Amino acid sequence: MTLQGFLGFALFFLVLTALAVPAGRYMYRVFELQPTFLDKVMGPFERGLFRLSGIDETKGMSWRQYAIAFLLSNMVMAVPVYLILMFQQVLPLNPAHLGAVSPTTLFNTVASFVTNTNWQVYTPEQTLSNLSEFALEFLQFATPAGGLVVAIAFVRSFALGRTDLGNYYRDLVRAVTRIFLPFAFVAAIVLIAFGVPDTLGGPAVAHTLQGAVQVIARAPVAAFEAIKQLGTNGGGILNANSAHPFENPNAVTNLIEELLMALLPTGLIFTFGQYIRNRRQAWIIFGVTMTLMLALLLVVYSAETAGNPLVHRLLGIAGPNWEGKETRFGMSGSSLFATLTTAYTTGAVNTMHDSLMPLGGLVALFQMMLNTVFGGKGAGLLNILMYVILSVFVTGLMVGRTPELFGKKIETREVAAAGAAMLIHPFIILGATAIALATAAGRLSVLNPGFHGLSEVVYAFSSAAANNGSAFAGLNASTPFYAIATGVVILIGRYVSMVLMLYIAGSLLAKKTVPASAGTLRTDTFTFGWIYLGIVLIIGALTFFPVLALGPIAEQLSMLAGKVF
Amino acid sequence: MAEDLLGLLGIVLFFLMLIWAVARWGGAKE
Repeated sequence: MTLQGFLGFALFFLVLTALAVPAGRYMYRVFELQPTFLDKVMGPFERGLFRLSGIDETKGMSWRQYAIAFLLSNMVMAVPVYLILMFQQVLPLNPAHLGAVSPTTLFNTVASFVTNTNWQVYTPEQTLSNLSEFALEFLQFATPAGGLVVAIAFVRSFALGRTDLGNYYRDLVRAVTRIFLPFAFVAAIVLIAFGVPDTLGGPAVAHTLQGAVQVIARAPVAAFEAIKQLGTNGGGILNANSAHPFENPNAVTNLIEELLMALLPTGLIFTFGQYIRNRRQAWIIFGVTMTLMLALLLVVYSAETAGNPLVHRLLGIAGPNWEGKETRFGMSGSSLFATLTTAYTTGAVNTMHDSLMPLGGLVALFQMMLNTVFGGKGAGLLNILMYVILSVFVTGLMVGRTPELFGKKIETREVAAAGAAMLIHPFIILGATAIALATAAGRLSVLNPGFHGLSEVVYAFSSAAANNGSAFAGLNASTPFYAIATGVVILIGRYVSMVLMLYIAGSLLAKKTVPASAGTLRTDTFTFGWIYLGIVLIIGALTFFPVLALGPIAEQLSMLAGKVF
Repeated sequence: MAEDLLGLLGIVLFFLMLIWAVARWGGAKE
């Protein structure tokens, strides 16, 4: 661990916080139809779009209408993308003349991209044409917008005097035109300025000094990279993802990409604060979540800089764990990226997570299992509020206060739905892992024996369930078994909990807002913040500790005991 | 081709099933 590393972290989090607060306010303005600088440019376009599609964007929706519109639009988006990928070999924009995509890869890829997961069971530059990549890029804009607006609909249920959750289509369009498109456009230009290429020219052929011919994959990288990070998508246009020198050429682009992935989910907490007219509440949630993430970052950073004692003994020298890392990012740049990408469920990688030290891998896994360390666009805030509801209920019972949240009474219906939404996550991770380990098809893909092999399988399903998309690459996930299994887990992980949260929103919307009284449990205090954090950690630990003990913890203890596999 | 379409059918059916569940869901006050 170095002073330079710590200063780098401090600078990053200061800049992030300074940008996230205005970004959060801007998102509030966008969704509450307040004037923004893009009104003159985007306004006519949006109105034309609604007129053309026959949608009355002024009509407010109930939870049921909002949920159906969300699901229906996602289905409608998935179908053309699926067909483009299916027929890419006969469609234009295929300069490398790539052939058909296999059926299981097709299913997995579309399920993965329509859910904002971007889990990739294929090598992009060898599998997908430029047109297919553009189709996926469309989903990289539309799906984070979908997650974001569901979270906005949810927080509207707490807003005073509201009788509906808003109009899904207006929210979705405004999220794309006012937030993702302009932000990604600027980010892509900045990335190009710092050396990220962007071309439709197809692969370049180079003749090396030794006379060998080398084919270098090229693509519209900057455009893809910007929304890949900004939308917490994570799917690379090149197989090495953000470790590739085209996707992430230097320390500056690395910093920009880290900021892009963290900006909007962090800002959304402040948007939420504006909706409930309680900025202190937003700062409390931000504070405890940031504290947790910083603690986990320090675990990764210290584990990676300490290195592997077995390797030290073998080489006779001490040093950090450089395996799977890019020297241009260093230990701090790699540790921070690995922490952020699993906290914000982006899934982009600039270091190979399979090569992280056992404790580094444990943090990556644990963050995806908790799914509340900021989390992805919208989905993260929804998960945080799901735990807040449970915390209010549990604490209210303990101290004999009325379980109320932001003026709305929390009753059996909301707690049951929040409990179900919370249980789905461990159920699909652990259930799918159990099935994979119990079947020959599941075990065949495990390339590492012992504890690390178990970690690889759990990581795959945690990443799928959390809609993260990063992988412990030691597992061969491009088999039909894993393509189908992770695809199904991805779909359930995304939609079931979101629908349940919209159901809670509908239920809360129907309740009268009651003014705070002496009997109300205040949630905008540090005491409640720590209780919330404790409940997240206790539930997370109780649910996942056994599998973590059998995976990364056992691996760490074996390493310290000098055991090799 | 048939196998390719099977995946698409799976995704569409998944969405239709959820939409049906939401549409049929009773008990929620709106």
